[in-house]
Amino acid sequence: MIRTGARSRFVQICSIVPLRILLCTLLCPLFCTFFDYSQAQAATKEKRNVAMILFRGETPSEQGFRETLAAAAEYDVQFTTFDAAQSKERLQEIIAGLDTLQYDMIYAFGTMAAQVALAKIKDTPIIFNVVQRPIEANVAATWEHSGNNATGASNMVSMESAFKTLALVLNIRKLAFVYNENDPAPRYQRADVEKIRKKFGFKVIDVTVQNTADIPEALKLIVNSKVDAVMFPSDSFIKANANDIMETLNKHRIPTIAIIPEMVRENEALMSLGPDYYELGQLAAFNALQVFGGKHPSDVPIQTVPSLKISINLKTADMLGVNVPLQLLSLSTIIR
Amino acid sequence: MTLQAYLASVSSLEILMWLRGIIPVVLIVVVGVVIGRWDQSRNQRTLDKLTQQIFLPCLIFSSLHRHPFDLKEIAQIGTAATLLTVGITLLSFLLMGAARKQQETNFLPTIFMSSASLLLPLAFILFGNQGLAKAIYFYLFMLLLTHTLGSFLTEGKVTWRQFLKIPSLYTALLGMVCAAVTLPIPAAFEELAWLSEKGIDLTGLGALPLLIISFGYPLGRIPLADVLKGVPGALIRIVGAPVFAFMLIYLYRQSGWLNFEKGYDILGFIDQRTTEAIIVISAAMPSSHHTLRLDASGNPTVSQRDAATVLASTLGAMVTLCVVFFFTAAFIFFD
Repeated sequence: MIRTGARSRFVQICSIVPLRILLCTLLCPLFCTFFDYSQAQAATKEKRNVAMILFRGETPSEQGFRETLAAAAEYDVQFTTFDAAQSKERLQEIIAGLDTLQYDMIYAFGTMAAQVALAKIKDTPIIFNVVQRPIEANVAATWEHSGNNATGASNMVSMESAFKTLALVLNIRKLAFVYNENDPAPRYQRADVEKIRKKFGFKVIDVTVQNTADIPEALKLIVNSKVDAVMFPSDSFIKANANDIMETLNKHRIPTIAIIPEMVRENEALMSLGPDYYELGQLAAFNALQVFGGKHPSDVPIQTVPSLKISINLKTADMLGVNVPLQLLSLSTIIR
Repeated sequence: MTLQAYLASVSSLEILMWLRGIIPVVLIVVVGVVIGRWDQSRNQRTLDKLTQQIFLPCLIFSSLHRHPFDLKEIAQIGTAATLLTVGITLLSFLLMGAARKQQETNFLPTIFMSSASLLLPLAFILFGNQGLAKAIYFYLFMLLLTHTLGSFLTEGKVTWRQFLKIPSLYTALLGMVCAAVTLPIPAAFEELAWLSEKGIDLTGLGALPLLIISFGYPLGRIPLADVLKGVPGALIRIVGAPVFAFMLIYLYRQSGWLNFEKGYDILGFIDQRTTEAIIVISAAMPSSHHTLRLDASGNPTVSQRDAATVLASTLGAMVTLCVVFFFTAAFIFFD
């Protein structure tokens, strides 16, 4: 009652015409100043065009890249996306047909896209992302100075950390390592696994595939080898065929470990031990901002994520009878 | 962070995982109780013998040879086990000294927790091999304390010979040596070594349900009517000991012996948190039924009051363990 009375008095006072005019006179300049400020902000933002060349569609790393650049106060970034849909030929066509004059920067996802882009584009800055071994893949000369028009973020992970984490969940003596021979990145991970194999006391069975027709034979080899677990490196071909692969391996109760985190959520792999792709996208964007700011890509060091992201699929763990220790829960992303 | 925020940080997932661990254990204990009541031929001695001489030594070797050997970790757990035991002994004398004078109790069920039968399976289910290995260290120290302090309290002497006859001691030593020294295995024998290892692992896993059954086995023979007599001892065991353990963890952190900084080595961080969790959960375990030796040894030297302490602490632990876990999850795993 009291509130209603007070409100009606306020309305009565405001209905007095001269007072309304006074209020408008005071508030209008305030609104105008704010509007002008917002417009000025937009006008002062420098426009930048980025061509995003993807190899296997959108991943969380692109989301991280876009969101970080969109949040930058100095730039108004426009993105144009090209997806090669996992075809090397399509990738080459995209890059060959790219009018680099239209773009201030080229974003390339994966080792293959980065290599092809670097071979064709020499005068536009390239920001690569999810490139496992930039030095070995000839994408950069060193981690500090690429020596060319590229910089970016690497998804390199410490295999020792990965296996230490894995030892909390599984006891592995025989490990199948499945990868596409045509992709350069998994070979580097295979070499890393070989280095720590003796320390952790396990044997590696190499299972290579080149096309989808090879997959049934590869799965047969894994099942017959009676392995304790299967490891999938960061490999776009494997990711694209992960549903069929995981279905068979889960049916045979063989634990699967992936480096690509989405394989746990989307394809029901048991666990992933790799970098957070969203964080990788953010790191690549930080490098992009430095290049926008005037630095030469060669002078911007390549970024790596400081720690592993652990994802565990609890449903798969239950299916396989794998016990997930509680202490891992506080560090992991759990998929149920 | 406030207490409310701490408690809120424990998600339903942690509670779910805890229940997934505790419910099967409780069910197997019940199976043990039922077997104990129905088994008229008294086969517990055979069950204990099999568990103690074959399955448990295999479990201990299987766990320790895979766990990185770390003297600091052993020292942390050993010190905690010793301080806890000494602390609870003093507390028992202080609060229940009169009962001891009347020869109603020898305090053993209050001082010594079930560090093998219940702790090892629970540690494995909840914390995997990392937790199991730490729980094994705790168990080994408790064995030593049982045959020194425990024997002294009951018999007035230390029973070294009995202690040195325990097979688990030697498999533990072997496991630690294998973990500390990488033994070169010729490639031709690698497969054979792994198969032998799998055999030991499998036998060791068999120890887990057997240990829980052997925990439940004598419980069914303790008269429920006596349970009230055991309440004071049980309270010290299942409430006093975990509170003491939390204080100990606090002191460890304050002194810097257990580092709470996350730092770069996240795996080192969770390893230390697991050590803390194992110390607290070990302290919260109900009384050890081995201190009673009701049926297995045929030497029922313990009082009704001590037997009642075992029963009361087991029944009470179903509630207190849940509370302790909740606080462990909130204070230890979530900063």
